Amino acid sequence: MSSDSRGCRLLSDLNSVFRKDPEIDEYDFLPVLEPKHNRSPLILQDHKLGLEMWSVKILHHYAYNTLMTWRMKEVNAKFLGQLDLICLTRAIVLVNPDCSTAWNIRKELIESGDLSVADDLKLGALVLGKHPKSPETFSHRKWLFTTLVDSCLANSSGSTVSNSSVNMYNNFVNMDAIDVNLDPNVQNGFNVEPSSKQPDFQEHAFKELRNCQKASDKYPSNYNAWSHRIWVVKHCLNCSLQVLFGELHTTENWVSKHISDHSGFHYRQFLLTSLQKQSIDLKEQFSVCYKNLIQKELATTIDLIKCYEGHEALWYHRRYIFQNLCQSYSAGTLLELFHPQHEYEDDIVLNISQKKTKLENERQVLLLKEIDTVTKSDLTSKDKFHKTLAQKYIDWIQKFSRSLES
Amino acid sequence: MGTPVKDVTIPDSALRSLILQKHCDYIASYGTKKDDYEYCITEYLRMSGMYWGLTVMDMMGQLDRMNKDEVIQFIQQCQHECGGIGASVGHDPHLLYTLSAVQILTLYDATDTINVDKVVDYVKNLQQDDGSFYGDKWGEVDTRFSFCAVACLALLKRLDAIDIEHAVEFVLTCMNFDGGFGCRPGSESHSGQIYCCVGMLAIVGQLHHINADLLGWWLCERQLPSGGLNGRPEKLPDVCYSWWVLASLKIIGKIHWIDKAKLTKFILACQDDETGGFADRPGDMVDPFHTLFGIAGLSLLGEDKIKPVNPVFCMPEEVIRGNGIQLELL
Repeated sequence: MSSDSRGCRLLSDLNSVFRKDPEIDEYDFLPVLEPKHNRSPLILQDHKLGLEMWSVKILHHYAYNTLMTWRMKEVNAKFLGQLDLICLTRAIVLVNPDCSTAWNIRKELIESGDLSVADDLKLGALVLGKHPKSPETFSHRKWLFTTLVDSCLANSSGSTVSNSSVNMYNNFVNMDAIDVNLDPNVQNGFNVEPSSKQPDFQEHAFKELRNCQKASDKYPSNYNAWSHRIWVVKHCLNCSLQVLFGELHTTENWVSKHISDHSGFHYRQFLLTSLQKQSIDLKEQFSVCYKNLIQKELATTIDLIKCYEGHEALWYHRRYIFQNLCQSYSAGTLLELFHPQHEYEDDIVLNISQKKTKLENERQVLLLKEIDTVTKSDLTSKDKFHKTLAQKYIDWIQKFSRSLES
Repeated sequence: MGTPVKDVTIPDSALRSLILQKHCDYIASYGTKKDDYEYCITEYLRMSGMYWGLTVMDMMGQLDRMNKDEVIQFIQQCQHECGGIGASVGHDPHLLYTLSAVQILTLYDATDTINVDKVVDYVKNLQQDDGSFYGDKWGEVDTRFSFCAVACLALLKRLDAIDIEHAVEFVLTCMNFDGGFGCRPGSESHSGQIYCCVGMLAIVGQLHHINADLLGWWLCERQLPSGGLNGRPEKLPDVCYSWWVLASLKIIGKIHWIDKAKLTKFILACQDDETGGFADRPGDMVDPFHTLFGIAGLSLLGEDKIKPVNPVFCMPEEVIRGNGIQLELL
C-alpha cells in the first residue's frame, strides 16, 4: 500500500475513533516501531487512545501534506470541506501542536461558525496532556478565551458593557465571606451555578486553571503553563479577590510538594502582588490585612527551607517576600501619611520626616532580623550548597536594602 | 541532607577544542534529506531554522557554501499580501519569522528583494495602544514580539514607523523585582525574555531603565558548577542559555561577572565530534539551533576562529556595522 493511501486510512481510523468516543481524555504514542498485525494501530480503551509509533509519522505526513497543498491553493489540491479541515488539523496538532498554521485554520473555522469554541478547548486540553509545554496550544487557548469573552459580552443585554469580563464577575465578586473553601476544584464554594446570561464562561475559566495545574504537574517549571494561568486570572477572572484567594489556597499545598518549581512560587508572587494592589478592598471587604498574608508566606517559606535544604527556588521566593515586606512597610507608611486617622491614631503627631525615619527603622529591623535568623539556622548547615544559598540570600537582601536607601 | 545541585557532569572524554570544520559540514548538509520526518515536523519554524544555519555559517566564515538565490527566492515566496512573512511556504505570517527573514536578507545584503514597505506596515499594525506587539493578527502579546518588531525595523532602518515611547513603556511593565523580565506584566523572569527585553531597550537606546546591578546579579546566578548557564532557577544548564544570559550580560556591561573559562569548557563539551554541531548539554543530540548559540556564545567569550558576534542581533558584528547600525551598550 502506498504511504498516501495508508495515511488516508489512518486519518479515517482516527476520525472514527473520535466519533466513537468523543470523551477521549488522554492519548500517547505506543512504542511499536513496525506494523505487527493487520489490525488498526489505533487502540482505544477507557477514553484513552494509543497510536502505534510507526503510524504516527505516516498519519502526520498525510494530514500535513494534504492540508498544506490546500492552503497553498496548488492546482492539484483536493477540495476540502469544513469537516475535512477540522479532521486534518486535529490530526496535525495531536502530533505537532506547535504548528500554528493548523491552529489558525481552526480559528478561521470558529469564526465561520463551523467549529465550536468548547470543542476546540477540549481538543487543546487533550493535546496539553501529551505536550504540556506547547506554546502554540496555550496561545491558541488565549484566543479561544478572548473569543468566548467577546461572544458573552455581545450576547449580554447591555450596550453599556465597558470592557473585558469585569461585569461578568460581579455576581460572585459580591460574595461576602471568604472562609469558605476557595479551592476552585470545589465550585460550590464559589456559587458558580451557570447563570442564564453567561452560561459557561466561568466554568471554562476555572477549568482552565485546573488544566494549567495539570500541565504544571506533568512538566516542572512549566513557563508557558504558569504564565497562561496568570493570563487567565487577569483577563478572564479579572484578578478578583476571591479568585486570588482561591488560587493562593490551592497552590499552597502544590508548592510545598514541588519545592524546586520556581514557576509555582512565582505564581504565588503574582497572586500576592495582586492582592497587595487591592489591599484596601481586602481590608474593607474581608478584614484581611495584607501584611499578615505576606508574614504567613514568610513563615511557610522558612519552614520549607528548613525541611528541604539546598533549594534555590525557595531562597528566591524568600527574596521576593523580603522585598515585598520592605515595600509593604513603605506602602503602609504612605497610607498613614494620607489617612492619619485610619488606624494609627497614636502616630498622628509624627511628622513626615519622622515617619520616614520610622519606615527606615522598620526596614532595618526586618533586615537585621532576617540576617540573624539565617545566620543562626542556615549558615550552620552541614550542606555546603545550602550554606552558599543562605549566604547569597544575605548578600542579596543587604544589597537590596542599600539600594532602597539610596 | 540537601539534594545535589541540578547540573550535569562533564565527562572526561568531552571535547576541549573547537571542531569548526565539522560544524560547517553539519550545517551545510542539514536539510538535504527533505522527506525526513524531522524536517517535515519542524517546517513550522523553517525560517528561523534557516536564520540559525545561515548566521552560524557566516560567523564561521563559510556562508558562501549555502545557496543564496534559493534562500532569497524562498523568502520571497513566504511573504504574504499583508507584508508579514511565514515560516515556510503556505504557513501563516508571524513576527517571529518576519524577523528571521529580515535577518537572513541583511546577512545577504538583499533586503530590497522583498517588499520592505509592506513589512514595515505589517510590523507597525501589530503594535497596540499600550505599546505591546501582537505576534500576528490573532493577538498573542509577548515581550519577544516587542524585540522582533524593533529588531526587524532597526535592520530595515525604519524604527520611526512605530511608537517607541509606548513600546518601551510596555517592556518596562514586564520588569520584575529581581531586575529580570517575563513575557507579560506579572510573568516570571526568564533568561530568553530578558535577552529580548534588554536587546529591545538597547536598540532604542533606553538601557538606562535597567537596574544593571540587580539584573546582572540574577544573570550571574545562572552559572552552575559545571560552568554551564541555566535559564531560570533550578533548571539544567543549556547551551542556548549560554547565549541569552551571556549576551544580556554583555549588553549591560557585566560579562566579566561570570567564569568565562568554565563556560567555555561547558560549551565545548556540548559538541558532537562524530556528527559536528552542538547539543543543549554534553552527550545529547545536536541541532542547528544549539549550534548557532554555541558558536555565538564562544564568539562573545573571545574565540578568535569565529567572527565577532553582535550581542543584540545575534549576527556578525561586521554585518551590523556595515549596515550603519550603532548600538550603545552599558
